[in-house]
Amino acid sequence: MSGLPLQGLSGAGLRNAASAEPLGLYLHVPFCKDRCTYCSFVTTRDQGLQSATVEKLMADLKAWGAALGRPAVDTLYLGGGTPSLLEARELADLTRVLRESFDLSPLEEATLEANPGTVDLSWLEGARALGWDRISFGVQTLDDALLARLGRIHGGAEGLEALDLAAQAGFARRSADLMVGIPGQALDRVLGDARTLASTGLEHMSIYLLDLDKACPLKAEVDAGRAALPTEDEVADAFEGLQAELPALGLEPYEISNYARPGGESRHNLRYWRRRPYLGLGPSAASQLGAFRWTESGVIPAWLEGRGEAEIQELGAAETLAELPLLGLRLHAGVDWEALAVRSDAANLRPLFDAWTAAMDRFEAGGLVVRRGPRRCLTGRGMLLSNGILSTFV
Amino acid sequence: MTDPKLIRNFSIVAHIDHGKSTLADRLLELTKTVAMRDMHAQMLDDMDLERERGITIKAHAVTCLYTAKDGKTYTLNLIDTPGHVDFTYEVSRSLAACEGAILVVDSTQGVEAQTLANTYLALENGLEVFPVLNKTDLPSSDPEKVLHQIDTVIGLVDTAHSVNVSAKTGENCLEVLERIVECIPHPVGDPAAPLQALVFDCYYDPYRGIVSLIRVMNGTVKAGEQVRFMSNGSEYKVDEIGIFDPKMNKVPELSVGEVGYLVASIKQLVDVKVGDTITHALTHNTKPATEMLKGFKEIQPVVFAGIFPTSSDDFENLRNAMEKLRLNDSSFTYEPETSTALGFGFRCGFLGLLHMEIVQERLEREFDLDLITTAPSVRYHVFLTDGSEVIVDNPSKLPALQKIVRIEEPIIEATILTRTDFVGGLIKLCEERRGLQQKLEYVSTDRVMLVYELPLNEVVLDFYDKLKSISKGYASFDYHMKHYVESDLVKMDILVNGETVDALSILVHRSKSTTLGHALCGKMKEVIHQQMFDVAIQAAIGVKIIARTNVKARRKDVLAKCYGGDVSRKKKLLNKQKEGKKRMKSIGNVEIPQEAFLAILKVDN
Repeated sequence: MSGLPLQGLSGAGLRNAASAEPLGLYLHVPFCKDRCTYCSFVTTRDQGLQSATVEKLMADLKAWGAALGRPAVDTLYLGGGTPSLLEARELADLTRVLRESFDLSPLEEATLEANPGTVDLSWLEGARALGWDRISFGVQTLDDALLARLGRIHGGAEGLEALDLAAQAGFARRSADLMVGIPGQALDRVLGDARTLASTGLEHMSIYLLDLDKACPLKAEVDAGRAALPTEDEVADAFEGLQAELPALGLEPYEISNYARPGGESRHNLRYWRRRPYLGLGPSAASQLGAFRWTESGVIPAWLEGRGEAEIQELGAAETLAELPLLGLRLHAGVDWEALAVRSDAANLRPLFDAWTAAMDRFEAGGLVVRRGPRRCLTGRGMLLSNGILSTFV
Repeated sequence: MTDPKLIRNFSIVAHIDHGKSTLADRLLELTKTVAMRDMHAQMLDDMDLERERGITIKAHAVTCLYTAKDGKTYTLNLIDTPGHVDFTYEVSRSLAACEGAILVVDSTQGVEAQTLANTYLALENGLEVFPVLNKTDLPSSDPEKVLHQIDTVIGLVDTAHSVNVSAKTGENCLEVLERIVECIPHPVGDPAAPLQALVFDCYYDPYRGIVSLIRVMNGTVKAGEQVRFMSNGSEYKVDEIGIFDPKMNKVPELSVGEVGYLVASIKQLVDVKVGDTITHALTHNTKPATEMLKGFKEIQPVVFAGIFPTSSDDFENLRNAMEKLRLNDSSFTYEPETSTALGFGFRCGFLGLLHMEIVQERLEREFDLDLITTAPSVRYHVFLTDGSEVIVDNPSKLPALQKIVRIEEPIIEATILTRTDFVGGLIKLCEERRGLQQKLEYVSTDRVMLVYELPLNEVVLDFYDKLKSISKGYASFDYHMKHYVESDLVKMDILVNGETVDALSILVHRSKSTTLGHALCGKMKEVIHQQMFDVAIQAAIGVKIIARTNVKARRKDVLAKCYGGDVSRKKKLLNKQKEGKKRMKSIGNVEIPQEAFLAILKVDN
C-alpha cells in the first residue's frame, strides 16, 4: 500500500474507514463551454486544460485507489462544470481507471451531470455503455429569455430534447434541475416548467433557489439595479407551490431541494445527508472519510500541478455528532431522535443533545418541526426557514 | 519658589472648532515648551477620543517659560479645560485655578452658546478675560462684527485688548503671549499661611498611581510632607511633586500661584474629588488650614442608562472594565442591575449625554466589549401615598401606579444661539419638547439667542441631534439644571410577543404617550429584522395597549443549492448567520438587535 496523496491526513484511520463500508466517489470536471451568469463554482472555459485535467484525475484515482487499498465504491457521481464536455474517449479512459483503482462490484448508481446544450445521442449511448446509469441535466428553466439571462448555452426546447435523447440512449434514471428565483421569472412559469418536465417521465427533480451570495456577473447586474430578484415572498410562494404540485405529479420530496418517484432518490446525494463517507477528486471537490473532511484546492492550475492547498479538518466527537441532525434534518425522513440520544450518551455529550432537544421543542411549538414516531422532521415551512433551525447545530 | 508676580495662570475658553487646541499648540511652540520635532496637532488632547472628536475631555496643565518684551521671564501656566456642558463643574474648578482666560472666537463664525456659558463661568470666578479673534487668515473673517457681538452678548469682556490671530499660520500669536503678561493679574497669596491647594483635576497614571492636578493658593507644599484632603479628612504622605513642562517633571516644592501635580499613595480615583482643598496634616511643623477653598461640590450624575454586555459571558469583563475606567473617570457611577430582558449589567450615571457616549465608547474600544445601552433616563422624584419620597432613575423600577401621588421631573434652562433663519424650526422643536420660552433676543442682526426651560427627559432623548439637524449645525446649545417640577408622567412599556421588555420602558408625558407609542412601535418594526416567527410589538401604559405593530415572519432562509458534498462551506454560511445573531439579544423567540434598545432616540418625537 502506498502513502496518501494528500499531506496532513492520517493513513491508517482513512484506510480503516474506507474498508468499513463502501464509499461514494465524486469527480469534478471543471470546464464549461461558457460561464453561467449566476455561477460561483470552480470552472473554466479554457478547454486547453481538458486533457491535462483528465490525466490528473486519472492519476489521482490511481493514487487514492492504491493508498486506500482499492476500496469498495457503491455510488459514483461525475459532476462539474460540464462532464458532458468530455470526449467519449476521455470518459472511457476515466471509467477504465475508475474500475481498475476501485472495487465497483457493489456499485448501485453512477450519475453523470450534463448540460442540455452539449449532448448528442451517440455520446449518451457511449456513456450508457460504459456503465453510467443515471443522468442529471441542468435544465434550470424552459424559458428561453430566462436561460439567456442566466447565460445558459441552451434553450428551453433543448432541455426537453436532451431528456428525450437520454431516454433513447437507455438512461432509465433521469433528473432535471429547476431553478427558482431568476430575475423576471413568474410563479406560473415555475409551476408550468415543473409540469412539463414531469410529463417527460423523469424520475427525479432538484429545485434550486438562485442565491447570489458570491461575486458573479448576475450579482453585479442586480447590484447595479439592472436586474431585480424576485421578492422573498415570491420565491417562497414558488417553492411552496412546488412543494404542493410535485407530489401530485408523482415526484415526492425527500430532501429540501430534491424530489423523486419512489425508489428514484439519488443514492449518492443521500449519502451526503446521511453522513456516509465519500471521496471527492478534482479541483474544489470535498471528501469526508473517517474523522477527516477536506476540500481540494479550487485553483485549477495549482490543483493540476499538485501544489494547491487543500483545506483539511479533523472533526471532534461533538462536531461529528452535531452533523447528524445538521445534515439529516434536510431529509424529509428527518432524524431518529432516539438513536441520536443513544449516540449522544455513547459520546458523553448528553448536555449538548438536551440543548438541541429544547431548541427543537421550540421550533415544534412554532410549527417548523414535527415528530413522526421517534423521528423529528422539518415541516414545509421549516424547510424554507431551515437555516435558522440548522444553525442550532453549528 | 517663583515670584508670584512672574506667574500668569490662564485658561482658554472656546467653542468646539474655534481653534482652542491649535492656539495652545502655537503658544507651546513659541515658548519652546515643546521642541518642534515633538510637536503634533492637538498636543494637549492625548486621548484618541479627544483627537477624533476635536474635544477636550480631561483637564490638562502645562507650564511654559516666556521672556516678554519687558525682559523678564514669566512662568505661564496654561490650564486646558473641557469645554462641554456635561463638564461644567470641572470647567469651573479649572477656571478657579486661573486669574485670567483667553476667549477664543472664530472670526468667521461668531459667539456660540458654549463660549457664552464658559465665559460667564470665567467671569463668575473673577477672571480677567480678553478676546482672541481667530482664523483671520480666512476670507470670511469679520473680526469687527464678532467683537461687536462679544460686546452685545457678553458685555463684560475687555474688548479693547482683543488680538486678531491665525492660530493655523501662527500669525500674531506672539502678541497673545504679551497680552497674557499684560492683562492677566498675577496670583496673590500668602506663602507663610497654612497650605491651601485647589485640586482641579485628577487622573490615574499606571506608573505613579493617582495624580492630582493642583494650584497652590496659599502656603507651600513639599514632597515628603503629610497632607490632608479637606472634603473627607483623609491624609497621605506626598510622594512626589512636579510640574508639566509638558512632561511630568519633579520639583521640590510648589508655592503660591504655582500649578503642578501631586502624587501621594492614594488608592482610588474616587478618593480624590475635583474642587477639593489640600492642606497640611497637623504635625510638629505643619498645621492645617481652617477653611476649604470656595466652590467645592460633590458632583452628581444627571443622566442614567443601563449598560449590558451583549453576551452574558462578558458580565465579569464588563465589571472589570468599569472598575478600570473609573480609575480614569470618577464622575461616572455604576451599580449592578438585573434586567429580565438583558440579564446582568450595570445602571450607570453620567454627567450628561456626551459623557455617556464617551464612557460607552471607551468601554467598547479600550476593553473590546460588545454592549447594549438602554435609552437614557433622568432622575425623578417620586412621592408615594405613604408620605415617602423615592428617587427613580430607571423607569422599569417605578413603583406601582396606585402607590404614586405625584412625580417631579428635572427642568433645565437651555440657551441656544443660532442664525435667524433657523429660529422658527428651533422654537418648534423646543415647543414639541414641552419647552417654555424664557427669552428671545437678537444679539446681532443675524443671530438670535433663545432661552428655554426644558424638561431634561426631553433633552436626553435625541434633542441635541435634532437641534443640529434643524439648524444644519448652525446652532449651539448649553444648559444648566434649574429645578424639579411636578409633571404628569406615565410609564410606557414595550411588549414583544406579549412580554414586557423592562429595558425598553420609558417615562413620558401623558400628552405625548400615544404619539410616541406609535412612533416607537414603528421604529422597532424597522430595526427588528424579520424572524422565523411573527413578532408582535406593543406599547402599553399599565394594562392599556396604546399602539401595536407586527413584524411578519420570514418566509425563506434556506440553502438550496447543488453539490451537497461541500458541508464545510454550508457550515461556514450558517456560522456567519449565527455570528450576526450573537450581536443580538434573545427575548423569548425574538432576536432583538442592539439598536432596538435605543430606538426611542430615533423616533420623530
